[in-house]
Amino acid sequence: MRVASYRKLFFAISALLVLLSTVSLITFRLNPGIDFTGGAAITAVYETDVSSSRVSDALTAAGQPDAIVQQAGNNTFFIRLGILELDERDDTGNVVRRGDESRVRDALAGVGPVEIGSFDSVSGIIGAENVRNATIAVIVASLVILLYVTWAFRRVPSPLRYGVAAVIALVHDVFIVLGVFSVLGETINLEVNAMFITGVLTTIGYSVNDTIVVFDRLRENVARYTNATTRELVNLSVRETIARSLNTSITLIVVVVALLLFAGPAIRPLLYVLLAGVTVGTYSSIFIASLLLVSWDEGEIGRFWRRVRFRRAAA
Amino acid sequence: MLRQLRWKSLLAIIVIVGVAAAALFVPDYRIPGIGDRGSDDVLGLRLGLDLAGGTQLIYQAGLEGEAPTEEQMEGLVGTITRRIDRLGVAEPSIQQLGDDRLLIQLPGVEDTQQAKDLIGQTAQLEIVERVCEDALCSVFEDRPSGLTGGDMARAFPSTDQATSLPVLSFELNRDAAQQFAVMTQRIYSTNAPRTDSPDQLAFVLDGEVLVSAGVESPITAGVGIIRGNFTPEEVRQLAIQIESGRLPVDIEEISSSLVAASLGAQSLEEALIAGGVGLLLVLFFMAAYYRVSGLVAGMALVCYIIIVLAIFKLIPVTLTLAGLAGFVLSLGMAVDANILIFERLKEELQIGRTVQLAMQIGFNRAWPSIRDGNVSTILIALVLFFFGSGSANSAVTGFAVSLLIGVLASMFTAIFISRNLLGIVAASWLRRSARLFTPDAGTRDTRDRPAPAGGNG
Repeated sequence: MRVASYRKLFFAISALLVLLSTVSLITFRLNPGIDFTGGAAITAVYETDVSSSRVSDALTAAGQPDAIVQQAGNNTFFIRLGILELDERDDTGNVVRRGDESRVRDALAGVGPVEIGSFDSVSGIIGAENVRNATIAVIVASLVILLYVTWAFRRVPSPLRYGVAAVIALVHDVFIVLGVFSVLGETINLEVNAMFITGVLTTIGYSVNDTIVVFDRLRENVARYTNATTRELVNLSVRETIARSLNTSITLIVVVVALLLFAGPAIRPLLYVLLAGVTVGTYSSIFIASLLLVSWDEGEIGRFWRRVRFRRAAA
Repeated sequence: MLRQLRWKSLLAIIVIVGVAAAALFVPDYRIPGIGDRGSDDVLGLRLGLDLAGGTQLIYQAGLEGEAPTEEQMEGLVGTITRRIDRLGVAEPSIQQLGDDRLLIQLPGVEDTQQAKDLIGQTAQLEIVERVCEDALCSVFEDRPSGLTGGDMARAFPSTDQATSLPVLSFELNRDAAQQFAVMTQRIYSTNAPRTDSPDQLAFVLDGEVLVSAGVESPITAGVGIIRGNFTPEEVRQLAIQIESGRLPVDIEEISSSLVAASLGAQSLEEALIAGGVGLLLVLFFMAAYYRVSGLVAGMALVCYIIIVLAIFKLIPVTLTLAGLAGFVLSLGMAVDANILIFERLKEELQIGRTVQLAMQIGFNRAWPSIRDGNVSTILIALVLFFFGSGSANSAVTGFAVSLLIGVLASMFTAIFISRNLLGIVAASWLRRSARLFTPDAGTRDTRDRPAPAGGNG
């Protein structure tokens, strides 16, 4: 296998995927859940047959005309509401006027005997904060990885390249996972929530681990075959690690698919992220991270930037 | 010598895994000096509210521009803890989150409204006159004095100038000083003629007496101290609680979450089934592909799971769905560590090495990548923990904690359990057939390799 010779093909595939993800993110956007926008989500399980329109009507009457009611199985409904108004209290803290939550509960109970399986309510402050924290966490994690990989590969010529390549692969993976989710958000109405963030973070962890395995082999081969070119060494290292990369990924994917078949709706978004993340993470560690090193070594990255700059200057 | 070492390590593995299994499978026990471990849930693990059911509330304190002080937050935690205790919740948890937030977890509580009503009330501090019927004041009647928290200027810990013992100091507002003087005069006067039943002064917060004391002399200037057999910490706590009733901090709910026990149980059951099926698939795959080493890895994985769950139980870590996700990722890393070792082992066998030597070299070659991969994951877990704690998003923190424990344990399993088990296999009769470890021993294709640059690395 001589992957390095086909690197432009793989770069083109990745560029296309990233482009498609960008287009999808711009057109469809992500479908943020209450963890990010604020609002309320309810699981209501009715004991008798109830139609979703009756639930909607009751909620409209309770001052929630924008409620989204989704039927999920027999008489089970997922309900999405906007940010709820809190109870109004006097100076001593006694409730003088009930807020939206009790009105909504009363409305749901008015339709028929019901068990509230879950009732989550998030304020706008928390939503904004979660978005900020998640973004910062991803950026800081990337920087830490850049530093660590550069340090771990300090005995190889130009270790910074390894760090940069690992982070590019990581960002590439996160981007494509976001793109996949914007499509899923549009098609099956999948929401981006706290579980999604954990999934993206898992993907980052997995992607970096996978990249390091290939780089580790490269590190070993660089020391062993001092006369070989980077291209030859990357070819050899990828060939030597591909069985392990595929085995690990297949194991994980099999587990995730098994989980998808058995697990309930609560962790399903996480599993979709993992499925997308593991797949793209394996791909990027084999075909992007290590091949970037070849391109860098052969001066292609410098040439590419000069061309981009030249075009900008010409325009 | 080498063989002896192997058997010693086997013994060590059996002891470690045995202790972990005992810690995990004995439902509940007491560790002297540390506390009780175990619960009524699966394997005595502590389950989060999303799996066990219950209510979780997050409040922001001091919304009106002014950030609350540390003492105010402590007072708030105390006040809310006392109210929750009245609800009769088993094992409630009220903690400060960051500088100005409260995280309240109420396992088993499904009446969110009642909990919110109780928590949202403003703390009420009253000064009452306690009229005693006997000398020990075991029978008494509390009469409201009309003085409340609003009449107080401050309460703070200090030391008695005469005895250097810790005392509680308090000051009343100028307007209230006169009324307080009359009241303390009256209480004091019960001292002289009726030494058998001196009346007392009491500070009451939310209907609960914080402190009561006799009056040694009327307090006319609105400034007094309360002596008692206090430790400095007790005085500090008293001052904080009186202050929390004097100047209640505004709180506002910023997040609330209710999961019914039935839904939590359903999530848990699904997660357990999915985990079991996933594990069986992995074990099957490893055994089919890596043969004897796959079986060894299977044993190592089962040991790994027992060790991690035992650590979860011993610390104890509260398991949530996000925490389970972190555990699954670390499980994946543990499987990966084994795969890395086996792939190296296969390579060494393919170039015709003996099983024993191949295992040694295979492990040594796989180790740097296991180490670097795991360290980078540990770093990510630490970053997540840092950004997750303090904010309201406990899902990220839960994920980070279980990932961190899982990855540390996975490194331990790879170094200690997998390697030694493989060593034992390599020392046994199984070593005679390399084909038990890989179908293509001694058949390595070396065509594409570049020429080694003299010497072997």
